Amino acid sequence: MPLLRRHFLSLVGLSITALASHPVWGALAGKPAIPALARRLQDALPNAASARALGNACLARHPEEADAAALARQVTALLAPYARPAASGRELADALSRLRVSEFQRGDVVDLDGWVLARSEVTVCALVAMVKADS
Amino acid sequence: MLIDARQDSATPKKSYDVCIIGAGAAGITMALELVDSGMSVCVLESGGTEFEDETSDLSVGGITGQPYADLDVVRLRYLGGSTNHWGGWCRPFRDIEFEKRDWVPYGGWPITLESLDPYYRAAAEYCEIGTADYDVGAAAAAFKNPRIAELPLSGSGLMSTIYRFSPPTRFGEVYRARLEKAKNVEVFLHANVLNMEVSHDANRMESVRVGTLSGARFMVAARRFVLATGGLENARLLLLSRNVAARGIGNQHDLVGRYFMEHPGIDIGVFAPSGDRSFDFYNTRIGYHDLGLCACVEVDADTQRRKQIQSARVQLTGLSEGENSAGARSLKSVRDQLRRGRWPDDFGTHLGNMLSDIDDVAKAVYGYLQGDKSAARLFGVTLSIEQEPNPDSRVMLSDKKDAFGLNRVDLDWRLTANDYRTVTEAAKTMATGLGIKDLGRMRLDIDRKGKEGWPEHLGWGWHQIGTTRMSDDPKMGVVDRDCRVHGVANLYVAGSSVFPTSGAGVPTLTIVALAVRLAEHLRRPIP
Repeated sequence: MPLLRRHFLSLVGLSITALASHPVWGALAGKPAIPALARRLQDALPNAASARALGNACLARHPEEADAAALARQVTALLAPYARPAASGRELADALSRLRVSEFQRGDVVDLDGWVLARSEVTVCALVAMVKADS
Repeated sequence: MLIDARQDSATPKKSYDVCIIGAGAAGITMALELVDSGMSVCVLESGGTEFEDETSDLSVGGITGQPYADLDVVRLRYLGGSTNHWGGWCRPFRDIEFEKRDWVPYGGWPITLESLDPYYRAAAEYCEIGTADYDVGAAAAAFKNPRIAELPLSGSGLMSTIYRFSPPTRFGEVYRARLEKAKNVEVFLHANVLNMEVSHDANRMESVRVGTLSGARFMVAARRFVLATGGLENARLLLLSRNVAARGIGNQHDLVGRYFMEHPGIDIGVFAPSGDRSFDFYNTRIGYHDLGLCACVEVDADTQRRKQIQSARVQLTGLSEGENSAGARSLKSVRDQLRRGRWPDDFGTHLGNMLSDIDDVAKAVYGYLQGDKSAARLFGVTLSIEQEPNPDSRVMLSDKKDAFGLNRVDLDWRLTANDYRTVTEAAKTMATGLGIKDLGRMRLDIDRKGKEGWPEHLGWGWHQIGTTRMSDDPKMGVVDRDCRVHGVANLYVAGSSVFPTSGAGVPTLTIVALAVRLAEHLRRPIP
């Protein structure tokens, strides 16, 4: 359950492979588009400040994961089966919800200070926190 | 009729049709069921009509296993028995808890749960809960309040169950007048059974020897006897009565006192709901005080079978903001320890916590889940599990003696690795199941600082179960399916000591249902 470096590395590997078939999502994960992606994700969450706080808490406990580009690639790979790249805010929120449910169903969860969270929740919040910190 | 056995005028009849030992929920229920039956009934109650220190002292015993409540605190010894401190929670067993489960050695009842339906209806009347219906959706709908709704748990590994609350019924107070008026029932108060006298071949009860703390002694004879003194005392009295059967009555296979079960209660963390959904129906604070019933979340039967775990349920208790902080948890820990009569060993650490800040991650998580609402909603989550029947968890006779010179009781409450696996798997199932339905997120925080890796402040249900368990096989049980002691033609046992499994629920309703069932059996002519 704890979010380990090897999980991130394996997900990065999977992300790169997955993105080969999703050129549009892949473009969104490129460096200039990361802030835009983060803003769209932030807007799809119930509370931006809390999401950033959650993301910061995750990064504080796992500073080795503080790589916005890697986080962005992960998020786009995770979202690709659930949302089209030009998804509206509502569609994106719905996609994040379906992704979370799927992760809980598979048991693909992480432990953050005892909180049992879907993997994508932590990844998205970490990205949102990083982009805010960098801006 | 109520008779004070200490009075010189207190003279029992030469013989009764039925002698019931103990006037708690089971004993009083059976006595009432036998009113106007044409049978003569004697009830022998150790205490009076109120709590008395001297009588209560007879219940003092030793604890050698998992920490537990003092044995003279966890049970009460006066008219009404432990219903005098009962919390009123009522619910029947679930089907899976009666089944023979491959992963629960020593599990399974010899009777079906369905066969208890008419008795559960009668028990609902005795416990004053008005209905024997436990359909969760129907119960919620009856309130016609959108805040009272069943959670959509289908497909999550979880299910909802409901508990109905008795007022709670103090059986000694509520039914005293009926017992006093009953012409065929004599209730002897302050009457302690000192020995159960059996025939020379130990296969028939003949009489009981009774004593009062004031020094009176007399014998009571009956055609049939029912032992209804609770999960600890039922075993003790059988083990004490050794003048014919050297190991005690009904103990030819060394089963009396074994398989002691409780409902271990563990605080497993907190739950932060998503969005605006109301959890009032599941909030024990609201349910107990305002609704008269409360829903709980349990692991469903399919998940139990797949994970091979026992039953497990959680209670959600609404916390006000800050109650989940390290300081609030410390405050609760200190309070719980003081309630058990112990000064906290780590009071300094707790004091530091109480002065510290609210947990930053908790604030972040519930803010993330609940939007920009300033009032955080959090629930404490307490898990209560069905303990695995374990022959090494047991009640035994102590070397210490009571005021009558009789051996007191020692309790060696033991839990197993399967019990702990049920805790961890049930906790994970709760966390992931609530996530699957996007109902919220759980923070799991299970302490392992106590005995044998269990929580330091392990809770219990105040239930003593299984010490004279039911089985058709005399090598696996003390009583048969009619609650008759194997090998003793006219001795029966009532109460939770006959339960072969404990379920994850509460025993009182089933105790009363089985008492109604046993009374029906006793009303049949003796063959």
